[in-house]
Amino acid sequence: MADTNTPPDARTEAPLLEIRGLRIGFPRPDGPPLVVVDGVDLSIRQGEILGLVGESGSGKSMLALAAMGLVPAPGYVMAGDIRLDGRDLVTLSEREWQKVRGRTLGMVFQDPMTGLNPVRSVGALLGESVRRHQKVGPEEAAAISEAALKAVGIPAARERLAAFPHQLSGGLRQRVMIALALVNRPRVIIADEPTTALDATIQAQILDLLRDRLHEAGGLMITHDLGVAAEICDRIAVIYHGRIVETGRTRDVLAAPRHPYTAGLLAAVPRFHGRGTRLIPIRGAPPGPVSERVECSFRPRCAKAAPECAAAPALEAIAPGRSVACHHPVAAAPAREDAQ
Amino acid sequence: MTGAAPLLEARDLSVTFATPRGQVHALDGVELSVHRGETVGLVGESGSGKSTLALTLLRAIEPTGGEILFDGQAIGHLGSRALKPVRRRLQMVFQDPYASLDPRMKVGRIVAEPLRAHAYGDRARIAARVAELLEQVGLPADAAGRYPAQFSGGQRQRIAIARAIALEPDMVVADEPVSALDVSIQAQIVNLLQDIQDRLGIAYLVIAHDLPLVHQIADRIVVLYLGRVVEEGPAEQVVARPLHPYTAGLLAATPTVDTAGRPRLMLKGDPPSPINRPDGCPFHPRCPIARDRCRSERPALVAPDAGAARRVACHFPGEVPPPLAAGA
Ligand SMILES: Nc1ncnc2c1ncn2[C@@H]1O[C@H](COP(=O)(O)OP(=O)(O)O)[C@@H](O)[C@H]1O
Ligand SMILES: Nc1ncnc2c1ncn2[C@@H]1O[C@H](COP(=O)(O)OP(=O)(O)O)[C@@H](O)[C@H]1O
Ligand code: SF4
Ligand SMILES: [Mg+2]
Ligand SMILES: [Mg+2]
Repeated sequence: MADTNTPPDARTEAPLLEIRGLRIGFPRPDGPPLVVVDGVDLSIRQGEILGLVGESGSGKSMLALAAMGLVPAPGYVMAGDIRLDGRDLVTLSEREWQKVRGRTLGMVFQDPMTGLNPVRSVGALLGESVRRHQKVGPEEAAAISEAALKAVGIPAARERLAAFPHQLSGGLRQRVMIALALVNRPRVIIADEPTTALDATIQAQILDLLRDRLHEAGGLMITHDLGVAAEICDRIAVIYHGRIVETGRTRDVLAAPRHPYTAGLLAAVPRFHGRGTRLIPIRGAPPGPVSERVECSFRPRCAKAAPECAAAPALEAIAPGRSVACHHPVAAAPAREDAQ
Repeated sequence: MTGAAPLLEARDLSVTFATPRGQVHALDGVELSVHRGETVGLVGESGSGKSTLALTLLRAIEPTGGEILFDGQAIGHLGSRALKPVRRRLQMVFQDPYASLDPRMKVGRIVAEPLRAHAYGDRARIAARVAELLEQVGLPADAAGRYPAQFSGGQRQRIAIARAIALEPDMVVADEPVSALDVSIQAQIVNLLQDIQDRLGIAYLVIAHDLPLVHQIADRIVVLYLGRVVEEGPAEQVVARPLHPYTAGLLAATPTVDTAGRPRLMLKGDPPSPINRPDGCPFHPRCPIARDRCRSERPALVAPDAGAARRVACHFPGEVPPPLAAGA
């Protein structure tokens, strides 16, 4: 059960997962590579859920895939460190990665069918993962598998071991996916839009489960939905066009966003108290991937853009635990006045 | 509530699909009305029958039972010729802006399609109208000469909207029109739909699973569960004080930046299959307050009090406390 490789004090002090200066690129025949994740720093501590929030195409999945050694070719990690419990992952061989994935790193994807081999029963999927990573016999592996299903709230766990993924509802499949991610008690769990394909009532059930289980380790929760992030994340990092533009404690960021993009997202999201008011869109659309960044990526859409914004701003601390990449951060006031 | 007759009405509308696994009761006695200039929001989980209802109202699916009235005329079983004048007045926008536009057609032709079909005028008149429509939906004038693939998701939805409003219809049915779009773009499209309504007085039936969005834009909300309307009423009232336990569960389940972390009513399990529908109240297996009567007797959609503008299909309406009480 307990991880004997790391002294307990180190577990609470140093980040479990630490990403520094990560750049991910896709080569082009006719020029320098397109950089889709550009100098990202992130860290996750024991017992913490970090939300990575951004719109589609912002680089969330690429970042997650890099942390799991799964960046799809021809994409590649151009630069940066990814450390798990202090160990550098970027230089691992594929063989070494296989020992990390499913063991120290658990993964949950948006569509459980892509993460679950359809021709293996739930019991076989779990049992194989347990036996690959733990020195146990078939019986013990089956017991561990059943316990894993129970831990994710699957009723009649023993009978479910015989089921195939396609025989399960979407919600149950996602629970199985989570059981598979957790069965070897990983140190960090990465969940990429794990509830996006689910209906609201099922999403609520899965978020409840993720809130509990991810807090037992360290969690990276990727979502495009600020409401989902608000439900379960302790801290959030907002990503735009491959860069983190704002980080901080979830409630601080949502109550008083400092980056104009974060503020814009919050103004554009429908809210229950917004009845009779108009949504405030962000003008234009996000840019496509580029190979070299000159100006602030948000400049063409930003209401606060000024001449300085022709140079891309760095992510800088503005308060303890709070960073913003903007030359003209929004004043530290509530996100959305009731005027308008 | 307006006393005038509804523009569109569904009465006891049913649609059954025969499948190898059995009869799918996609719609089971749906009651719905939309008045002129009104926005009705239709919500419900996937599989509850929202798209089937939209397609049936537009007569792309033949109803198995019941009737559809458009401006007083029964259209549920009209032939395509007799339907033509109705189609002119009743248009649709789909969820997927990628699949709903023919990739081989230039945008100008896509938008002109309904104009041609209804003999709007000669070429010059149609071209002028297309240019006007593109401008109204915020697309550049040169868009007419380009293909859908050259546009982003939000822009494609603008194209679909231009096509839908080309003939200034009385009503547009929009099936998840912004679900595929990112929030910053979604807000642009929602505002566009509202501007068009302000200008043309179009009635909307908007299907969406985003309850805060529906609450924000709809006059009335209709909640569908397993092919039946379980609750209907003015948007504010339905959200502030849901009468059906399913509506309450749906509201409680909605993650929002304002309500995070509150204790919530959690609905258990998944919606049952429309092939094997439960006896009694279709919601009873998931209902937190179900009792014996719910397992045997199916509740009808009725007004909770005499004269109320709301209707609910539950034996114990309003018993579950409103999840968003206290200023949410
Ligand atoms: N095979 C590829 N070649 C080139 N660019 C790609 C490829 N796959 C993804 N991208 C680009 O990488 C960027 C980030 O994608 P992704 O991480 O999937 O975004 P998100 O998960 O935030 O929606 C996008 O701009 C996408 O177009
Ligand atoms: N053409 C069809 N043949 C068989 N079953 C269908 C067909 N269209 C829809 N259904 C079924 O009808 C039910 C309602 O579907 P749908 O109207 O698409 O729901 P929603 O739009 O609310 O997700 C579902 O169970 C669906 O599988
Ligand atoms: S009728 Fe009974 S089971 Fe159905 S919603 Fe009402 S209380 Fe629940
Ligand atoms: Mg993604
Ligand atoms: Mg649908």
